[in-house]
Amino acid sequence: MSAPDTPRMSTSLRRYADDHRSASQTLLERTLRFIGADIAFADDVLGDLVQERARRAAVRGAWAADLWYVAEALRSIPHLAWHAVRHGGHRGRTHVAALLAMTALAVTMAVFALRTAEDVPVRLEVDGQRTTNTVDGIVVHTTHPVRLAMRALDAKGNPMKSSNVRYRWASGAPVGVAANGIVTCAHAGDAILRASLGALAANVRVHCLPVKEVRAEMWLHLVAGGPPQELAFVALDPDGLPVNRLAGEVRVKDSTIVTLHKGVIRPIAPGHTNVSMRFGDGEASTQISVYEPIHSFEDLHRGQRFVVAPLRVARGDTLRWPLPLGLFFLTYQRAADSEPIPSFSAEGPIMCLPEFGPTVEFVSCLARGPGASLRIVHPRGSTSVISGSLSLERRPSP
Amino acid sequence: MPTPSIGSLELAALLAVVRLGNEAYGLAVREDLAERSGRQHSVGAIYTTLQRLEDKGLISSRASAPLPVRGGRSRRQFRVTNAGARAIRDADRQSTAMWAGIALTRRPEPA
Repeated sequence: MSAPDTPRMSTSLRRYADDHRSASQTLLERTLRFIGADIAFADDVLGDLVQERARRAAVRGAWAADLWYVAEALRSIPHLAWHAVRHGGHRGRTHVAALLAMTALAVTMAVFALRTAEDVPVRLEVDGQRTTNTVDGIVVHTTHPVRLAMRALDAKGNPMKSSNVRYRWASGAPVGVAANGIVTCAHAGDAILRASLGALAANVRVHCLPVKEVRAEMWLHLVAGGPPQELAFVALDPDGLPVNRLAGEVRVKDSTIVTLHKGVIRPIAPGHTNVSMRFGDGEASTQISVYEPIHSFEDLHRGQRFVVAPLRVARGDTLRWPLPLGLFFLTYQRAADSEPIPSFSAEGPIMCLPEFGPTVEFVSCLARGPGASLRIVHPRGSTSVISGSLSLERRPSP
Repeated sequence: MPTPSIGSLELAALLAVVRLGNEAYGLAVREDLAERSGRQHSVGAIYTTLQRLEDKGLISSRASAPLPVRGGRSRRQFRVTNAGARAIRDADRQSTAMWAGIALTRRPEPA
């Protein structure tokens, strides 16, 4: 034995170390004694841990030091246990085996308890991802049988993987409901259904609002960056009456061209897309063309596929607008429904269908060579100035 | 007497004990290894290794008087034995022999 080492720690650190022979240390020491660890060996390890914890407490604070101590003690336990197995004799090995068995049992019981806790449903709610539900219940627009989607939630609010929810009619309109949740809405009306899972139960309001048909505008012509427009459509029940309360799907095919928010369409960029609507057994779609505004077709250049230009024709006026090569659609839009349509005719190496007439507002044209133009004349019998817009949609070259 | 075989962690700990001299105890060895290898071995692993080295007769140890800073526990200091010094020398020879012929992968000695 040599002379005692001179500790280089300050007095406060030593006091900290003395004060922190905490319950966790004692428990650790007791555990080590129980498993038959060599006490001298364990003292070496624990002494280092205590010394380093005191140093860390002075540098980084008590919390960080305690955290480090616990982590290091846990990391050291396997080595101490192994040491006990190797040097502790039969008694030590028996105690290690007993400790391992107790730990395994405790972990198994904890896992079992957790799994059991997850399996206890505490709430039933409508599955919003699988059902067209509103704040106060589920809306059914179809007359075909549909399955109600309720889900059970555990105490943490997590949906349970499997639940056997049972259903029955409780009150209201005579809605057919099977125990497995298949509902048939033959007629309009509201009903209350009772959903139950074991001792858990909840009432669900079902709004039967059959939709037979959806009608919507076929075409919508908008100007990029121009004013937004409300999406116009109506859903009709089997008697042809409008259904005012709707829960279904309205989807924009290409949201880079238009966006849809709360029933309002906002034109974003030139192009063509559509909006589809689906409510129960009825569905419809609106084709939407968004045009880039230009002053006249004189300004048209190659890269522009969807353009619209204002058109103003006074009495006695005759205008000639150049037309591009290839296949394209021309659409005239009146400023007001009461206004007449100017007289259009195509000139040059071009063919248009249908042929221009006094009521034709949409034609498809093929210009086979340069020099084609559109002749626009103020119609006979009209005295006022006519105003509208002419849009052109080029089809891509085959 | 043949030199007992030693593993890489044992060799590293043995070298640390040599480097640390009179300051060679568990925590110091652990810090020395962490500084040189970047690996934070647990205190238990360090003492297990040192115990193995002692069992093989490559190091010896002595306990200090109980220290307040260690919660009233003593501190075990380690010292390399003659057998330990031989083991280090043998390990160096073996390493040199193993590296022979692949000098290109070694760093050049500083001038």
